[in-house]
Amino acid sequence: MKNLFEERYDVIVVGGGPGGSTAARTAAQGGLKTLMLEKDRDIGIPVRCAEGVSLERIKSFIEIDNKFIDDYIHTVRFIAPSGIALQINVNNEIGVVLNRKVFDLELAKLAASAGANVFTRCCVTGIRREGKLIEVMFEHFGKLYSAKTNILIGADGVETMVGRWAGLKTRIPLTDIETCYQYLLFHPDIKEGCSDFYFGNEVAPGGYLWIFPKGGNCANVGLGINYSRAKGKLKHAKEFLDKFIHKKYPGASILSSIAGSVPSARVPKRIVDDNVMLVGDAALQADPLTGGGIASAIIAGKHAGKTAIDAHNKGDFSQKLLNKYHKLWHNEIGKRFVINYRLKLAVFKLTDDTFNRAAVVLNKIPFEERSLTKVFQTALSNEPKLMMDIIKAFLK
Amino acid sequence: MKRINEAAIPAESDVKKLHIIENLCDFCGTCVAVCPEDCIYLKETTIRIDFQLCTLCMNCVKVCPINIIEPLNNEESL
Repeated sequence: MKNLFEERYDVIVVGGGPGGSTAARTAAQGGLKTLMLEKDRDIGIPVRCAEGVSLERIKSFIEIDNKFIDDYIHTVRFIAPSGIALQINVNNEIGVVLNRKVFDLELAKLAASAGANVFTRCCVTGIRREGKLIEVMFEHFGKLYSAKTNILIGADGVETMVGRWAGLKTRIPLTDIETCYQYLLFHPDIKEGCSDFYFGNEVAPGGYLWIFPKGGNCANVGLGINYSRAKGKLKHAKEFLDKFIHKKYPGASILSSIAGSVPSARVPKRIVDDNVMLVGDAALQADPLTGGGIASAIIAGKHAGKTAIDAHNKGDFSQKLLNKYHKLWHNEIGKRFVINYRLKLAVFKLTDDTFNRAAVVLNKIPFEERSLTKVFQTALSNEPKLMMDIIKAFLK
Repeated sequence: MKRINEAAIPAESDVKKLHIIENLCDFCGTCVAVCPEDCIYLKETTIRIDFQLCTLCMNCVKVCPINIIEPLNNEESL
């Protein structure tokens, strides 16, 4: 009987999310023999994600199809602690709420049809260096396998083991992680097309609560908090969410319930080692201000795949060459996150009073002028040094 | 030659410093993400802490989204 796995690959990708699938697809399109290993039973499940993304950012990677879009967002509101709602003019930037079970699966199918070998139920248990190669040990249906490769791409999420095994500093300090809980909620008050963001030290200290509609009176209702900003009695994400739901959506049905976390960090100086590249949440590549990580991971996967092709063409798998991937990612999207990290630190410290006052002032501005830039400028008007950052953050 | 890096389930230790309510764990990996000693082993639906390496920094206790890791008084260790 033919072996399921080969002994040698040009690229092995650990993790079958958007980052991993894009890396695998790009590498395979370049003619590289590619293996992608996903530890869970299915691609795309479980969904530890709010599923919101800008359509613009994913358009170039996948043909847009309503089968993986649960809702299109036409209205965005920020809700201050006082309850005052502020509608934001997002200037025709189309946001969507994905169905990531389908979206992730479509991206994995694209990787497979480009020629990558994709397997689920493959849990990587360790790596070792064997001469100029890396040997990857993994378990599949209780049996141990191993395969060697020149290039290992770690797309294994916020709790990355590839990062740890490669000796890269990917552990996250408490100030730089949003711990989250989310329900897929059904409630008759939930409307399509409108995305709400709740701020405040009682509702979501050091983070925010999101309502991302999924159609049919359902929404992803979740929040992220930062432990270091939780000064009151409540300390854990689920406690905050339960308190909110109890008040705002009493009697709601819960169709899904999940915990998770998002890095809100500066990307480490090194996300690359000889023969190894980290991609996505494993490399802390989420936007530190919004927590958005899907587009960033996909862009990283693209550049990691392209750099893998380059490395194979030159026969050079050194950290020095592979680091080009990091520079490419930084230039395309990462450099905005440097600014966003500074904004995050400032927004973290805002009092409920500041949020409330900003909401009153901003509501007086005509909607046409009520852009995100204006919102940040008003909220952070006590921090004039950040004005340039705010402008740069929202200039396309 | 770099050493072998492998995730082995830590042996049950005499001294348990923390208790995880395993049947409530969501296996989200938040605790692993913040552990400075890399001593939390998480694989699919198994979670275990290597107490030989644990320094009781309490990061995992603090960040767990569902508050299922609790410190133990050493007199209560199993």
